[in-house]
Amino acid sequence: MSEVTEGYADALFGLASAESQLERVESELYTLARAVESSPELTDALSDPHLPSDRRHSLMSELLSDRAAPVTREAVSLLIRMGRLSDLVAVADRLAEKAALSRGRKIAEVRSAVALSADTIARLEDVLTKAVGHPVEARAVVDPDVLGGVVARVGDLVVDGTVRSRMNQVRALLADV
Amino acid sequence: MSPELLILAASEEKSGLFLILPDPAELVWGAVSFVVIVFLIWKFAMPALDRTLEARRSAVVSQLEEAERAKGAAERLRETRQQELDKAAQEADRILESARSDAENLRQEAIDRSAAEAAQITERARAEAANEHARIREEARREITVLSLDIAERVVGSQIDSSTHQMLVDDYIRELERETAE
Repeated sequence: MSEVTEGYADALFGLASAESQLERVESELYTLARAVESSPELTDALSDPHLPSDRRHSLMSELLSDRAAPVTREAVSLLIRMGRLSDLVAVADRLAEKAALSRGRKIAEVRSAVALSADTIARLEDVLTKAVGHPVEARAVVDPDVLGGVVARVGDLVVDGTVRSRMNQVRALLADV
Repeated sequence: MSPELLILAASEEKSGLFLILPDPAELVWGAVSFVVIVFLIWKFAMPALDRTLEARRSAVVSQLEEAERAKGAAERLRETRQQELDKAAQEADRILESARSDAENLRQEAIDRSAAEAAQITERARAEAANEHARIREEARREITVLSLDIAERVVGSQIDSSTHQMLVDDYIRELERETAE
């Protein structure tokens, strides 16, 4: 994590807290970051220094829902103006972490092929809290690439129960035979 | 007087044996001369003759011996020559034989080498073919594996319905709960 990322995350944390919209802003940015992450074309486009800034603005506007908080919009706009759009994912993740920490929790990124029920997410949070030894809050991300099952990441800890990982195990096994 | 009377007259002077005998004086002198002459011959001529004969004889003997020696030398020379000729002929035979066997060895060697090389080339070609075969099999196996897994993934991805999704997630959560409970 670079100082720049830390700086932007700090600034956004302060700004959103002052507006009492911390939860909303970090959640919106987190969702936006996941959308960017899941699309390689989008990731490439954002890190392309030759892409005109109005094109970036329109790209981001498409991704942000109309109901997004003004602070969120302002944050994205700032990153674009500073030429730091490629840091969006890192900043959003850091902001989410800081927000969670301010609530005494850690972020658990939970990926599944389909949306999980609130009950399932609650059970996951329980078991991850026990595993990490620290309260966690789950951020559910729908990622069809996992095929099935669920993978959770808390900091450096990864628990992977996806069909994708089973497939990869089979693949590695067959490649070695 | 007639011849018959003359002979008669002569015979009237001597008769019988005395007719052919010289006068006794003449006989004595003749005998003495004879003895002297014989003595002289025996004394002087004979030794000279003997010496001459002896010299002649020894000369002949030495010539004969010389001839004998020369003959022996010639014989030995001839034998030596013959031996040398025999030896030369043997040498020639030996050289010829050795050349023949050398040539045969070389020929055999060349044949052996060619055969060995041919065998080597064949063996190498066989090994390469086997390697290539194994490589292609392995490659095909890998490709089949990858393709099968790709298809399997697609099938699995499309076959999982919402209840299965829920089951997969629930199963895993239960697994985690068991693990953390331990």
